[in-house]
Amino acid sequence: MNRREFVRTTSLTAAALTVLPEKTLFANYAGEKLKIAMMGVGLRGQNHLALILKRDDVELVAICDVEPRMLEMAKAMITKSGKPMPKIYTGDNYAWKKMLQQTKDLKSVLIATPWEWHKPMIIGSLEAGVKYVATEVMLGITLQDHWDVVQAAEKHDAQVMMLENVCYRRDVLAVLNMVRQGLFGEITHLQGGYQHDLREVKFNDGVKPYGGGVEFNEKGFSEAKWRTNHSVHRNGDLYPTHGIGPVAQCININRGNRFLKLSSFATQSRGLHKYIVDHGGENHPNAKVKFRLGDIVTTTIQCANGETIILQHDTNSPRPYSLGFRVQGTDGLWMDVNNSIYVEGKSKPHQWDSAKEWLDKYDHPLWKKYGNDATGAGHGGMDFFVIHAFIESAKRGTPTPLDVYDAAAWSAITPLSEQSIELGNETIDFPDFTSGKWMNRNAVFALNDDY
Amino acid sequence: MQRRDIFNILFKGSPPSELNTAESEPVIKAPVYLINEGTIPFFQVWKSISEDVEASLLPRLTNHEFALKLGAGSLETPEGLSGVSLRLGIKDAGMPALNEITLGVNAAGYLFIGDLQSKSKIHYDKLIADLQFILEVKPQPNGKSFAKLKLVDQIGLTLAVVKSEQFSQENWVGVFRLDLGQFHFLQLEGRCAPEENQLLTTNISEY
Repeated sequence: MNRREFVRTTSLTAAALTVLPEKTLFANYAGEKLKIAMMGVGLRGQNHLALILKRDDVELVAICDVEPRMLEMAKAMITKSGKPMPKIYTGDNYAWKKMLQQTKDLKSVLIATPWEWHKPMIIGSLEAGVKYVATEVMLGITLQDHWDVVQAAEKHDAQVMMLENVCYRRDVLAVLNMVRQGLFGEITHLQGGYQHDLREVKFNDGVKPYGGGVEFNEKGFSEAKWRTNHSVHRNGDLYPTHGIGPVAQCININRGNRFLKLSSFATQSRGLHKYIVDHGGENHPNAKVKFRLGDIVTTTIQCANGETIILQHDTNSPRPYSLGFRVQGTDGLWMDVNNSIYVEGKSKPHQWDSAKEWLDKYDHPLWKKYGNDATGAGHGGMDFFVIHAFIESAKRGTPTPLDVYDAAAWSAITPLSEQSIELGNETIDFPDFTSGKWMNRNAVFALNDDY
Repeated sequence: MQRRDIFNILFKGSPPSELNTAESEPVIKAPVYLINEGTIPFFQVWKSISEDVEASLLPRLTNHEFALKLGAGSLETPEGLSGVSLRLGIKDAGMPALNEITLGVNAAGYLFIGDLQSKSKIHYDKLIADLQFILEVKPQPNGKSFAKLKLVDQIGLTLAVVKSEQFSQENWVGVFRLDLGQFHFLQLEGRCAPEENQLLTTNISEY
């Protein structure tokens, strides 16, 4: 289920819980409940809120948002769940600081706010003593932001997990299982991206979250209020983590491997302007806006162990959704666009197998164990797993399976791709956020059916 | 009847002999400078250097790809921005004189190598903090070379790039000297033949 389907099936009067199974998770949980606070309970935050409210091992102690409409929706969800109403913080853009100051024994924070707020909120949380911070993608805006978060996490010996849910997609995990079992041989090349027609996300009528108008910034609602502005001012791969996260796991980035260099190319910028003219008329004030973001941005990455990765960011054009995955090795490959797999010696020569049989056979233990619990959770169930992993790590006091180095490396593709394009598509060196630790770190992500 | 026989009848000639054009058969082979077999990595770092440091690049190191990294300090002076530069290819007496290669950032804020400079001016704020120059030189056919010079800031962001094909491999051979500016470290990395791994001579005491 994609985001639009999620919103269609859940009315804006906050019926998000209705799509989840009625069963409570970890009912009769006897351990100490994990105290969590949420920064941002907009539509994305409400996806996470729904999952948190289903768990009996978590105590939601505070929420914070500046949008009264979103807060009302979140409060309605909480009331309906029967859980105690957490303390509400609102009023200005820094109400989250007050929440951190006033909430005692807060062990974890979940951030689902506009991108530009992630870095200050993460670092603010760490400085307030919070040891487990979950943040929606992205980690920061500039390369300096990414370093700042990494250094803050190291300084406070805390865990920062970016909620990259696609790492937990069922087919993605099955393919990771196949990679780890050597089905594809030595991995040589990978592809991914974010190919999602976001025109009705970037523009709306200021009332509905998706479409119905060509407004954005202060006249827009939900993501159009902040996300579109990035397309006005920036040209690069603005949203790389859904594509890079899953493929990075296949080649153990930051754990025996790392990104070395990158170059990016952008097409001309046409789609957003055309959408405004087509739907608002050429005299609409927004028709004068110059968008810097190229319609399709293609990035190539070279890795230390020799693999290459191609990422594509494609959000301004009419097209069906696809993350465009390809995982290829010396013995075969998976491509998700045509739902196909080829394994030399097992598939008929030069012919694709339908991926389904392979994916069913190599279904990941996590999905085998929790597939029913994940049913109805956001984005085809993968939101369940990413929240589950964060909460289980925090409860047990263990490192999160996706850590701050992963978050920084994946998210830093954005400022690096911007810089590459700015310099005329130059190849840009990739900083090593682990400061050399990548050589000795071991893989920890999804090794079993635990979390 | 074969076509060749027909031509023989028509032109009353003898059967044609094998063509002998003196041209060699096409050969698909990687250029010598791309073949790393039989070579070993070369790596040398100096952590304390000053303007009067001198070191030499000998020919066998320049036969393969090599990289030079320099850590430089702020370019800010009381009078404004100072330049920072490194001169390479200074020839000893007795060696044929060739154009020396100068590279760095000039006082106007542009990265340069020889007479080429970056398209855009580097922001002042970036030049008043530690910087790193990364020079990568790759041999090309016919003794030419491809040089790529990058300027990277203290967090690893590439600020400017200049590429040049105007220098031969021979141009790089010789002493290199820090002409202007403060440098924190110098790193030289490449490949060379195993029996000749002491290819770099230097008068630097610490290495």
